[in-house]
Amino acid sequence: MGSVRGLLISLGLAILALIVQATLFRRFEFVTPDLVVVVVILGSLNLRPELALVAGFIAGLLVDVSVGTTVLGLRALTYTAIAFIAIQTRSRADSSPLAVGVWAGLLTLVSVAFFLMVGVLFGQSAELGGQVFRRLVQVPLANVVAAGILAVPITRLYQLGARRS
Amino acid sequence: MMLDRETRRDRTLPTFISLVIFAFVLMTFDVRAAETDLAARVRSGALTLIAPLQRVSAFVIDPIADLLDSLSGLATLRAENAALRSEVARLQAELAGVEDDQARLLVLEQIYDLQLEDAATARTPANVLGRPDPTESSFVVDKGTDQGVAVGHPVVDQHGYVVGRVTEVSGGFATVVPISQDREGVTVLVGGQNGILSSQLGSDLLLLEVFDAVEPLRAGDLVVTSAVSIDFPAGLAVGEIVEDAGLEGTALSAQVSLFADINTLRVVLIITWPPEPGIGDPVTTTTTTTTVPGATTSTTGGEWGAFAASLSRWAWPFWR
Repeated sequence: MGSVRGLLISLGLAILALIVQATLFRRFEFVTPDLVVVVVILGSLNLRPELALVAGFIAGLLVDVSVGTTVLGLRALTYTAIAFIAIQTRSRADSSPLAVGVWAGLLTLVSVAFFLMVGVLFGQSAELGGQVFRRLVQVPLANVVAAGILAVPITRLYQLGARRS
Repeated sequence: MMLDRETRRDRTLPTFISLVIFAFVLMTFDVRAAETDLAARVRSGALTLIAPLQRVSAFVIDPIADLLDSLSGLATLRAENAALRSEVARLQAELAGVEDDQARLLVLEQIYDLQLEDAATARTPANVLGRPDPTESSFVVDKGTDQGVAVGHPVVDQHGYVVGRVTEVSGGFATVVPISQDREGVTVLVGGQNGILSSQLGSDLLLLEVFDAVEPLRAGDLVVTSAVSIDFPAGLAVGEIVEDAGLEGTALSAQVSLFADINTLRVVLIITWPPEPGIGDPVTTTTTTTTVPGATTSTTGGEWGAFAASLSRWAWPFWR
C-alpha cells in the first residue's frame, strides 16, 4: 500500500494496540505480548518501506511518551530499526500465519535486545532493571502467537484501505 | 518496474538513517534537558490524551477480567474462606490484647505528659488505569493535579507498602514509577541503621547499601522508610532482607524484596508529602501506615477514605 491512508491505519492500530496492552494484558502476568511491535512488524509487510519506517518511528514515540520512565526516542529508535530489519527480511515470511508468527517473534527478540542495549548505553539501566527474563522470553513468545493471530485480519484491513483509496 | 523498485530501495535507507539520527537527537535532547520541563510537558500532554482512552478501555475490560478471575478461583474459595475465618479469630484475640496495651500506653502518656508530633499526611486513593508497556512497571492512575497530586508524591498500595513516586502529572491523571525502576535511591531504615535502597539491572530485587553499618543484617529484617528521607514519610514498610548480609569494614550491602506486588496493583494511595496545606482536596487524612495483607478495597471516594482510615486504625497495632 503506498498511500497515506496506510500510514493512518498503521497509527490507528498502534494506538489501539497500546490501549489494549495497557489495560487488558496488565491483568495477566504471563501473557505479555508487545502488540505495538506486532503492529509495526505487520505494517512492514503491507506498507511502502518508507511509510513502514515512519509508522515504526511514530508508534515508538507514542509508547515513549506514554510510558514516561525511559528516555524519549528510545523506543522510536528501536521500532524504526525493527521496521527496517522487517522490510529487509519480509520475503522470509510467506503467507502462512505460522511463518509470520515465528518471524515476528524473532524480530521481537531482536527489538528487546536492541532496546536493552541502547537503553543501557543511554544510562537507563535503573529503569530497565528487572523483568529481563520476561522481556527476552515471554514477550517474543507471546508475540509469535499474537502475530500469527493478527496477521490475516491486519493484512485484510490494509487491503481494504488500499481498495478504498 | 525494476527502476521503480530500485528507486524505492534507494529511499528506504536514507529514510531509515534520517529517522535514526532524529531519534538520537531526541534522546540526547531528553537526557541533556532533563532539568527543563519541556519533555515533561510533552509527556504530560500525551498523558492527557491517552489516559481517558485507557480509562474507557479499563471500564470495559476490568469487569470481564474480574469475572474470569473469579471463575478460575472458584475451586479454591472454600478452603480460602476457612483459612480466613481461623485467621480472623486469631487476629481478634490478638486485637483484644493490643487494645489493652494501647489503653495502658494512653495512661502512661498522660502520667508523663508526653506530646507526640502529629504530622498528618493526606492520602488520595487512585485506580490503576494501565501500563503502556507490558514489561515496564510504571503505570497510569486516575488522579492528577485536580485532586492535589503533584510530581514527587509518594505512592503506597492498599496495605501501606511503598510502591513508588509520581513522576508525571496532568489534570486528572498521573504516572507512577515504582522504586524498583526509579533511578533515585530511597533512604531506608533497617535494624536501626540508615541505608540507600536502589534498583538493579536485571533483577527484581533491590540493593540496600549501608555505609556506616555497625551490625550485620539477617534475612527477614524489615526495611522501612527512614526519617531522614526527603521523598517519603518515615516508617512506611518497603520490604525485607532476602538473605543474611555481613559487615565489610563499616559497610554492608544486602538484597531486598519489595512487599508491594507492582504487577497486580489495582488501587494505590498517593500521599501528599511533604504535607502542604492547601494543595488540592484529598479524600482522606490519616497519620498511620496501613498493613493489612488480603484486605479488600473499593474505589469509591469518601467511602474508600473512611474504610482506609478505619483499616489504618485497626491494623496499626499489629504492624508495630
